[in-house]
Amino acid sequence: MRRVRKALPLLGCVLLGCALLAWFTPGAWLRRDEPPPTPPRRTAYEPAAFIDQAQDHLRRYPGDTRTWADLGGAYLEQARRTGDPAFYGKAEGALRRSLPHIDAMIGMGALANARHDFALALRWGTRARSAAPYRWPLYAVLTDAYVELGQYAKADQVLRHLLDGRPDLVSFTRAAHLFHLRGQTARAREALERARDIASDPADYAFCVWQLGELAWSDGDPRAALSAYTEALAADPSHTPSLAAKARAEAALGRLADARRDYADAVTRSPSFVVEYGELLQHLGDRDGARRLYAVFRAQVRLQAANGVSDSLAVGRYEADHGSPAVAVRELRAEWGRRRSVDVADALGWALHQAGRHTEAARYAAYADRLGGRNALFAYHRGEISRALGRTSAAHAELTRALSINPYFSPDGPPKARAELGGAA
Amino acid sequence: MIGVLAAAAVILGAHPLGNMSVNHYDGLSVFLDRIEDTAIIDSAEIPTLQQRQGASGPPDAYAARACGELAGAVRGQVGEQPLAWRVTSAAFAYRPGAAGLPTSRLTCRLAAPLRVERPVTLTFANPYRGGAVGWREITASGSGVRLSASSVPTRSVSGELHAYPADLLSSPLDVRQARFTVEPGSGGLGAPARVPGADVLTRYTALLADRLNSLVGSDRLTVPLGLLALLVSLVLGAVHAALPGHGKTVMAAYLAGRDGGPRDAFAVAATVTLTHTAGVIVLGVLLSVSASIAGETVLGWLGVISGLLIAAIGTALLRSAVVRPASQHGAADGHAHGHGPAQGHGHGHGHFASSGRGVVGLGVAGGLVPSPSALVVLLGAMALGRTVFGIVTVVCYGLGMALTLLAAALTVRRLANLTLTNRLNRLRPYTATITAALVLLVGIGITARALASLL
Repeated sequence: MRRVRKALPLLGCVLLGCALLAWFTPGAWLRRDEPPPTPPRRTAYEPAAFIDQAQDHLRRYPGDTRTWADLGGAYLEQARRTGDPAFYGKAEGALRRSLPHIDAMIGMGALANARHDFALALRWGTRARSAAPYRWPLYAVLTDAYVELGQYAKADQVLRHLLDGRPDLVSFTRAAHLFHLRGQTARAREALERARDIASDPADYAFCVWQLGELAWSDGDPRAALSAYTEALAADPSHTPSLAAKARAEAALGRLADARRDYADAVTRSPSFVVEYGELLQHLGDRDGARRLYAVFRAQVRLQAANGVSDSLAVGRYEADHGSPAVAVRELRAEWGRRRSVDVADALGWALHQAGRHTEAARYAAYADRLGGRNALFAYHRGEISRALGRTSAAHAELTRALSINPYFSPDGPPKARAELGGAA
Repeated sequence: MIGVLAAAAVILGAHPLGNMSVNHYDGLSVFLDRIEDTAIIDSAEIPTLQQRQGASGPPDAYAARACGELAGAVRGQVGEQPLAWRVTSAAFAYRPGAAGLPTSRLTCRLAAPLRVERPVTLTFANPYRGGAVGWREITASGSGVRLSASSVPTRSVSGELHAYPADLLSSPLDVRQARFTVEPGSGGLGAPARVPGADVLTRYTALLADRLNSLVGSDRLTVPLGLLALLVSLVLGAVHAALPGHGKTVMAAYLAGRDGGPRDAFAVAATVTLTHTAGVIVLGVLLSVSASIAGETVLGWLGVISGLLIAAIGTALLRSAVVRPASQHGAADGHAHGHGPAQGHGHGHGHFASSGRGVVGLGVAGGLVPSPSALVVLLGAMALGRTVFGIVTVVCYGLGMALTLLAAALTVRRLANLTLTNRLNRLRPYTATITAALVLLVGIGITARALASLL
C-alpha cells in the first residue's frame, strides 16, 4: 500500500510530463504562438497566393507597414487582373495604413492612375521621387501620369530614367506605348516583343501579346490581331480586354456570330465595352440591342458619379456619337482643362464638330495629330471636319489616310469614308 | 505591375463587391432522403439592368425561368451518380441600390432525391454565370445525417449574401465547389465557418499592438499620448505573458510548488522584466545595425538557449530533490496550516532552489526570447529617432509580463494553500520532485520546439 502511495506522485509526474510534451513538441496541439516575424515577400507570379500569405502575416503582426504596402500593391494587381473593383477599396485601405512608407506612396500613385485621377497620381509620384529617388516603380507611375496628362516630353524624360535603371517589362511596355503614340510602329513592336520575351507569368504574357494585337489592329491587320488576341486568351482566359478585342477583330473579318458571342461574354465581365458592342449592333441594324447596351453605359456613368468618380473622356465620346453633342463638349472642355492628351484633343474636336462648331473643331483635331501618330480614327475625324469646312482636298487626303492606316477602324466609319471618297471622285 | 496602362477598363463601385458583381450563395442541406440547395444570386446594379432588359414579363415568370436555368447548370454527384435537381420554389425581388438604380436577388430552392444508408461522398459545383466577378460561397449542413471531411463551412459568413465582410484582411470568397461525406447519424459539423482569420485573443492583441505602433509613430508625441502608449504596452505585455509558450507557465507552477516568500516571486518578476528588456534592446540594435542578421534565426537560437536553461535548472532541482530524500520531511506533516513566509523554507527544496539561483535562472529563461511585437515597436521608435521612448515602452512591456506572472503565481499559491493542505498533504514530500521533473520536461519540450523551427 505504501508502495502504491509512493508510486502515485511519480505516475502523476509522468502523466503531466506526457501532457506537456504533447502540447509543446513540434506539430502538437499548441503551435508556436508567435512565429518570428519574417514577412512574406511579393512575387510577380500569382498575386492571390501572396495575398493569402500577407493577410495571414498581418493578422499576427499588424504593425508591419512594409507588408501592408506590399499587400496594397497586390490588391491593386488583383483588381486589374480580375476586374473586381472591390479590390480598389481594399488596396486604398492597405496603402493608407502603410503611409508614409515609400512603397505605399508609389502604390497610391498607381491607384490614382488606375482611377483616372492622373493629377493626383503625379502628386504622389513626385512626393515619392523626392523621398526615394532610386525606387524604380515610381517612375512607372510618373510616366503613366505624364502620358495621360499630355506632357509627353516629360513622360519621355522620366521613361528614359526608368529604362536606364530598370530595363524590364514595366519600362518596355511603356516605351512601346510612347512609340505607338508617335507613329513609330516598328519600334513599338520591337519593345513589346522584348517585353513579351521576358514576361514571367501568364497574365503579364497575355498583356504583352494583347498589346501586340492592338498594334497589328491599329495597323490594319485584323488577322494578325485576332491570332494575337487568341494567344493572349490562351495564356490568361480572364483577360477581358483581349476578349473584347477578339470580338472586334472577328466582326471586322465578317465572323459576326463569333463576334456577338465574345462581346456578350466580355460585357458581362466588364461594362467598359458596352458602347463598342452597341455600335456594332447598331451598325448591324439591331437598334434595340444597341439601345440596351447604351442604357447600361449610362447607368454605369450614374453609378460612378454617385461614387464621386468620372471618366469624362468616355462620357464625352459616347455623348458626341450617341447622345447630346452639347453635353459632350461640356464634359470634354472640362477634361481638357485637366489634361491635354491627344485622346482628349481628338474627342473634343469630334464633339465640337458634331455640335456644328467646325472651325474650333479643326484646331483640336490638328492638336490630336501633333505627335505624328498613325491613328485611323483621328484621321477620319480630321477628314470629316475638313469636309464640313469645305476643304475638299484636305478631307480627301485625310479620309484616304484613315482607310490606308486601318480600313476597319470602326463599324460605320469606313463605309461612310468610302462613300464620301467615291462621291468626291 | 504593368497594370496601369491597361487600367482604362476599370471602374469603382458602391456595391460592396462592385456595381457589376453577380454574387452566388449555395446553402446545401442534406437529409436522409434528399438534398436541398438554397441558391441565392445577388446581382448588383449593372447585371440587374442587363437582366431586366432581357427579362420582359412578370418577375415570377422570370424567377421560374432563371431558376430552371440554374437547376440545369448546377452539378451534383453522389459517388458516381449525378443528382437530378428540380426547382421547388423560385422568387425574385428588386432592392434599391446606388444612384437610384435597383439591385436584385434571385432565390431558388432546389431539391434532389438521395438515399443515405451508408457513408457516401457528395460533390457539388455551381458554374452558373461563372464569368462575372463576385462573391461565391457554399455551405453544407446535415439534418438526421452526419457530415464529415467537408471542404465548406456549415454557416454563411455573409449572412446569405446580406452582409459582406469588408475588412482589409479578407478577400472576397471564391468557393465554387464543395465536397463532403455524409452518413446516417447526427451531429458532426463541416469545417467551422471562417473568414480566414486568427483566434479572438490573437486578433485583439494584434489590434492593440497596431494601436501601440501608431501611437509611437504619431507625428507629435504629446505627454498624454506617450502615457497612453506606455499603458498599452503594459497591457500588451500582460497579455503576452498569458499566452502559452516561452516557459512562463512553468514559473507559475514552480512558484506555486515552492514555499518561498513573495520576495522570490518579485525576484522572478524583476528578472523577467530586465532580461526581456535587455533582450529586445540588444536584438533591436543588432537588427538595425546589420541587415545580414535574420531575426528569425536569432529568435530560434534564443529559444533553444532558453529551453536548455530551463532543462538545466530542472536537472539541478531534480538532483537536489533526490539527494535530499523525502524522509527529512516526515516531521513537517504536522504544521500544515502554518507555512506563511515566516516559516521560511520549512519544507525545503534542496540547496539549489533555496539559494535563489534557480528563481533567477527561470526568470532569465522566461524573458530571454523577445516578443516580436515589442521588437517591432522598438524598431519603429528607433526609425523615428525616438529610441529612448521606445526603450521605455519595452520596459513597460516587460513589466506587464512580470505582473501577469506575479498574479498567476500568487493566485496559484493561494489556491494551493486552500485546497492542497487537507487532501494532498501526503503529496507534499514529493512536490519538490514533481516540480523538478515538470521543469525538466518543459525545458526539453521548449528546446525541441525551438530546434524544430530552426531546422
